[in-house]
Amino acid sequence: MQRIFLHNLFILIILFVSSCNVASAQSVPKHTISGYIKDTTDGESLIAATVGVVELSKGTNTNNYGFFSLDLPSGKYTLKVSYVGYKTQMISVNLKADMKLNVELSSSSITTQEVTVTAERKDANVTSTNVGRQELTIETVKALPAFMGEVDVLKTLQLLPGVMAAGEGNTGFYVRGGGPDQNLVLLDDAVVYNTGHLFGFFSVFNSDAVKSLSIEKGPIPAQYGGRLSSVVDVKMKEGNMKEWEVEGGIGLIASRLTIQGPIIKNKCSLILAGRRTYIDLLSKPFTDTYHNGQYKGDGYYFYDINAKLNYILSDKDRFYASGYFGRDVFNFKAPNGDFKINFPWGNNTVTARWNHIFGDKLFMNAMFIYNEYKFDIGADYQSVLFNVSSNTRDIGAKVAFDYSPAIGHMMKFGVDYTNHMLTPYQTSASVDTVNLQSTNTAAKHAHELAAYIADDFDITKWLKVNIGLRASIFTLAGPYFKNNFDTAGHKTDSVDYAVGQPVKTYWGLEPRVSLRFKVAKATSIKAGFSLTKQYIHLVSNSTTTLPFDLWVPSTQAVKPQIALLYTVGAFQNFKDNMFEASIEVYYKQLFNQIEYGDNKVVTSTQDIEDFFVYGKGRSYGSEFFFKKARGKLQGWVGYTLAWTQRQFSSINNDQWFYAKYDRRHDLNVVLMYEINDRWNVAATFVYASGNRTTLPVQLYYLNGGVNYIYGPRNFYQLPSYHRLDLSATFKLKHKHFKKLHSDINFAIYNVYNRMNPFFVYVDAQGNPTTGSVNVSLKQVSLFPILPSITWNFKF
Amino acid sequence: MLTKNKNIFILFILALAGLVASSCTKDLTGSLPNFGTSVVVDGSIETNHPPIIILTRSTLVFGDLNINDYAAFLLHGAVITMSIDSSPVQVPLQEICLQSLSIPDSQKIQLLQSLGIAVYDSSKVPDVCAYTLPYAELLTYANTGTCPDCGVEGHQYNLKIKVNNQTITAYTTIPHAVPIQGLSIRDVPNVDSLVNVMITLTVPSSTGNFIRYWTKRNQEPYYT
Repeated sequence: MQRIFLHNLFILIILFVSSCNVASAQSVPKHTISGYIKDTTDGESLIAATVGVVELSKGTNTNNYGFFSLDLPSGKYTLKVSYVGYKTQMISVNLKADMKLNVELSSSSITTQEVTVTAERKDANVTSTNVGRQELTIETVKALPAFMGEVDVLKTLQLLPGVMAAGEGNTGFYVRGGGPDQNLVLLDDAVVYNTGHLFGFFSVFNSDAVKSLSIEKGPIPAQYGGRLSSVVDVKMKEGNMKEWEVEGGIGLIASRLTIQGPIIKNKCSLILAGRRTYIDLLSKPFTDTYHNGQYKGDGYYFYDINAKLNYILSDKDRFYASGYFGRDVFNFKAPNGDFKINFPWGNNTVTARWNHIFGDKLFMNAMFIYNEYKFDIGADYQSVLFNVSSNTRDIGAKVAFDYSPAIGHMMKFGVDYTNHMLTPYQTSASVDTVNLQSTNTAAKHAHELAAYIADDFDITKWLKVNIGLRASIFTLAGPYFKNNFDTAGHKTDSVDYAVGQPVKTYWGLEPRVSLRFKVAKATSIKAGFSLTKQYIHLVSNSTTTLPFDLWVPSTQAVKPQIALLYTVGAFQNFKDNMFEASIEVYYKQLFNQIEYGDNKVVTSTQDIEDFFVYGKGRSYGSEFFFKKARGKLQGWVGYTLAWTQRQFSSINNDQWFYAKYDRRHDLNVVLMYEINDRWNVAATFVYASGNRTTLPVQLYYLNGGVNYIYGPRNFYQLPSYHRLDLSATFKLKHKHFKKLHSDINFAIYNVYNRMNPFFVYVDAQGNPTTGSVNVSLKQVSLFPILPSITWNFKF
Repeated sequence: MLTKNKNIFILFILALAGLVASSCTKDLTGSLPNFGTSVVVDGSIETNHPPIIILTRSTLVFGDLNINDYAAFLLHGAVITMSIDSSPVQVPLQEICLQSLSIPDSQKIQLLQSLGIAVYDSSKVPDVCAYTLPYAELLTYANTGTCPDCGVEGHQYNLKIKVNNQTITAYTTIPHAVPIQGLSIRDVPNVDSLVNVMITLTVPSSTGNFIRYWTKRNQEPYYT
């Protein structure tokens, strides 16, 4: 691996040198046009809008804050400003000096739910160096059938090739053979450690508060780090700068309400979005009276709140403050009072950002980020009190710069710092005056620092390159205490570090390269490579993220995970971008992968890392994507053929085995059709090879009981998964309240009531007293056909 | 008309509830790969007791089983030796079958139960065979309650088994017993006669935090 790395580093250095030469060759005197592209109705900045120079057949895209910068020689130009779902504007400019140009685009129609995509960014998928990047508009997300009426951005991402759903109705996902912890999920640049409500059946993202989302399946751009497999970047809306508006929906299990508007018109806006389930409230009258109120207070609910303040300080300065607060709460008490449990868990994130433009070309985004995930289980069983809690907290700062020295040339560079505090399971139990406390419960502290530079530029008319280098350093620091144990589990000695004292430091260079060869006007071939490192890890026996998940840092024993990704793709658009097609092939190598060892029993006396085993992985496959982007009928077909394997010492006799993330076939068909100006319908069909699991293959008697011997790791493949969902949206007319736009969405999940496997288990049935027992394999299915209805409104 | 609509509504609700309730469990059929069978060693040695080794084979996991067929899974003719600590002396263990003992079935059932083998059909007492110390030592054990090769605290016992053309080795150490320092009871709220028995003991720091204990009620056998 070291040899591969040095070889790629050498190529990277050559490319950087080339980049400087190209930049200097193009450095003739020019003027700069810069500004923001916004939505005319609410002033929201438009991310990745295209600003093209017609005369040069070149252009640029706005960054994550709607800012663009173009460097052009003096002269007359026609700028073509376009964005998905908006009317394109042609603007003539006579460029004699640097100029500011803020453009407001108007949506092609005012809608609440239906798809309004009228234009794709012209050849963007073909001309850019992005490999493995997919963007979804929130309108598309909202147009698709929703599970129990809850629109879900993460479940929509699962409909893209290379992104596999973790399980039935679940928001967890795997990207190109990586585990769920290898996905970096960002909400306004804050890491979201646990992306699911209700054990992952609903995502933590309220679609009404989401402005845009994208996924990078790799090579991951240099500005992102800390995860191996993908980056999901979710941006919250900034708030309407023009007028106050209310948006919401009432569904079967939850309702949403969003209020946004200007505090100072065109200068300062605020958005507040909330969502809550209400099964507990609906059932309250019954639980209060049922069995003399013995079940009173029981129930489950989740809620989340998004808030964002956006303040334009000047032409060159903007300030944003955004936050997310979400909780799941489960309460239960047994009727006789013997057992009570209270179980809250959830994420908090806060992001404060300051945008500043130096000159006309250098865009700075300085951020302070706080995020936290915690869970806390408190139980009382016959006056014996139990408590288990865990916490993952980051405090960080980032400074990121975007710089465009010439048209078609974009540089990004910056520095990230994060302070991690990872508190392992704190378990305690008490009976009367006796208290039991687990040992090794102290939080682990770590510092993660990274600097990066990425350069995207044309080498020739047909060859464009994006090279990036990220240098990262990670230090586990005191206070740190750990007991050491021998192989028999006996304590041998311990290590103790003072506050701030370095325990272990890792560092590394993470190069990323993407090349685009433009074969024809609408045809290109792309290739990419990346080396990524991950310093904090999730080790889980489950297939997705769960409330009990525990993140652990790299330590002396736990080394950083490393991934090498190689990918090649062919991209072709047809009929003036009405159709897009692509084929991507990838090969990914994973090192320092972590699993629980076989037959390991986690005890409170040992550190959880004492139970890990380490290994490697590989994943390879191909992804096919065909999309119709315009017209009354829109949608896409995505198909993935992939293999994913792992190898660990002491697991499966050191032999390679198929990972639980292995999914041979994965097919997604998405269709959206606009029948008329009041009716829209949509359908999604998914097919996936069955999940892999480990089953017993032999049994034996011991001590009067039946015991199992398990087969090779993940040797058994569950039946395949397939499902059809349908939805129809009807736009209502309101004669007396013309500002009100509303619709009713009818959706059916699992239309043909397929009993898809959720999990399987071994069931022993029979009467031991007669000596006869039948052992069989049972499949549990979760969701049958589920209709739902939701009323959405906006005024 | 109103009644008809009401009936349709109730039918709709019932149908919906039926569908939701139909999220279900079903049998999965289809053959699994045949991974063969394994030798299962159930061996134990306790303080002042002779070693008991029962050798069985595993069987395929899915299908019908009869616990009274236990004897069919036993492996016979194994060569088993035991050594103590680093001593080169190998103590041969011999196979003794239940049917060779001249004792009533009721005692055989009790003996099997003490080995953890339940007998549900008293008319078919399985002919269970176990490997243990030679008769001479067993006789000493029966007369004195202990024997030269019976288990002693603090010693390591090494086992070597040759069966079905394979050799299996294992070892175990009998830990020193931990004395109980105190015993108390605590009432369980809302349950009339139920109490929790609280035991106080000091856990040795050198041997981990696992404590095995036996309990018994009145004249019943000890349970672990």
